[in-house]
Amino acid sequence: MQPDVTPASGALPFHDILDGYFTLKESVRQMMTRNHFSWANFTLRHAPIMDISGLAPDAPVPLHLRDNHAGMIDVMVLTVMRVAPHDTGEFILIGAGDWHWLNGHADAGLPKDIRLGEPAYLTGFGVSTQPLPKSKQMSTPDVLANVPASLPELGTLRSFCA
Amino acid sequence: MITQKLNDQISRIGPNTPAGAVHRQYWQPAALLDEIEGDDPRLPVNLLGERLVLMRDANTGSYILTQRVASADEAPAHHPARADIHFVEDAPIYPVVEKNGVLFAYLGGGEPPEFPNFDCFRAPDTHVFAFKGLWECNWLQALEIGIDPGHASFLHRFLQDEDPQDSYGKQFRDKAANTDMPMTQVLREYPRPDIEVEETDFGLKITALRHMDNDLTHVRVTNQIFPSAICIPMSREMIITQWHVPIDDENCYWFTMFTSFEKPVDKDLMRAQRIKEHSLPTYAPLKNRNNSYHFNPEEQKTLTYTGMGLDINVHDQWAVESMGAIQDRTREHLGRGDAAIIRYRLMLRKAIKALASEHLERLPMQDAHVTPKIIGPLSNDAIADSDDWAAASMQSDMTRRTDCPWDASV
Repeated sequence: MQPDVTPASGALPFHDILDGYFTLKESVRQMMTRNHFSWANFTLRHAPIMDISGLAPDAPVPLHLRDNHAGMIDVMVLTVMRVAPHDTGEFILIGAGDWHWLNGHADAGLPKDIRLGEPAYLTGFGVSTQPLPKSKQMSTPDVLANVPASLPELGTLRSFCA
Repeated sequence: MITQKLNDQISRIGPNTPAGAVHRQYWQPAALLDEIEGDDPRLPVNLLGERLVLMRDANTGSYILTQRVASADEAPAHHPARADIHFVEDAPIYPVVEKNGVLFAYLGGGEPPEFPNFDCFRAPDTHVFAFKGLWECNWLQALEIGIDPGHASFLHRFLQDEDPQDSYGKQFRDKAANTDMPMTQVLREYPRPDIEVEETDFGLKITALRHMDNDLTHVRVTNQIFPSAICIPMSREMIITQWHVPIDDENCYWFTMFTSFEKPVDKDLMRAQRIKEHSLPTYAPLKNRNNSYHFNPEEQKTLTYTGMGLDINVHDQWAVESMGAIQDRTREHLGRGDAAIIRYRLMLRKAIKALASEHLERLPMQDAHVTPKIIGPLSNDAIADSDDWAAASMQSDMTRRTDCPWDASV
């Protein structure tokens, strides 16, 4: 697979909510599909996450979150690109973030099949083949205000891809 | 679905808790002016996990709050007699301000924030009626039901419609906007609103769109006022501003300021409607868990979704109390339709993080110059052509504000 890098010119400022409980990659895929995006760059903040040991990426989420590996994405900036051939509907996620675990896994990375613990609000820019509905539109300054921009915040980011 | 540790972080409000620290940066409703007796009151107040007493400062004559002696097993809404109230020596003194029948207290350190210029504060006393009630559950689940626009179509579903002429002082009994359709019919027949949420200076603006027949849309605008209040339309004449004030982690009081635009509030009628449903001095509701909220299966077949009577406050009370003292969010599964709850939790977590990093200025309504300029908020029902709902919603609010005898301009 090769990334189908779409130029960001013409990208529209937008906001949306990612579904929880699926893998982050699957929730992003659904968000890209419903907005007809081929490319997007967005920021997530304060998003609870869970990494349930032994749970396959396509398995349904359990009804009860017990003492498993849970934490919080404090901030994450992701660039999402559609991969060729387009009819696969596949996307790759590349970015950086800061996250922490609640149960003593301070140094643990973020697995590729990480799941959101609840739906997560995001703001960003996306390239769409269709006009965005008004309810998804946002001003560019409002999107940019949510992007991590201070050196102390940027200094804590670690890479993530899926 | 979050772990208990994350649930505790956003729900517990005692001293030295993250969400408690956020609440302590805001004025909190502590008591109704109606509760004060005489010129030298000693009113027990249980607020944010602290056992307090409201009294007058001997030097200034102003109301203040300070701590009182209480046992650890004291009931959450315990209301000791005056003779049994003893002050804790050298305890902090918290400032108190009266606003249209509600005594607000500030339990944080440093300078209290300014009050926003919301309608419930700037309307004359004649146009505001305040009341409160006890709910035996955590404040957050009480708030979250109030910012879920979808719940009214189910929890408050009426299978028959009352005559709107009998609607005074009641929620959801008026006619919808400028039509002859009762609100109960709109909620019942269009149960799946599109929900749009917008962050504001004071919290969130929440717009619920119910797309009706003939290319019409019912628009209902409600608001979340950070950290624990909502502002919603009650009728074409009145709005409700309601705080869900933590008593402790497992109990809260709702404090409501009913604000009328054109006509003065009939306080005697509104008080009588509510006093008959509550037990004083604790303001505990007479319908409660111990009597199954007066559930009547025959009524449920023919009249209401819950079978718990016509008072929608009881429906909400049952819904939030039946979740348990603190909702178990390790079993929760929110969807994108819970947009306002998702956005609210994001705001709360941001505020918690900002306080932890000593950035108080990042919390809503902390700027002393900006906060007094916050007016409104707009809160109404309207029915409009589907492609023009935003303008119609604004216009309906402007019309009643223009006709209003007090300065309700926005």
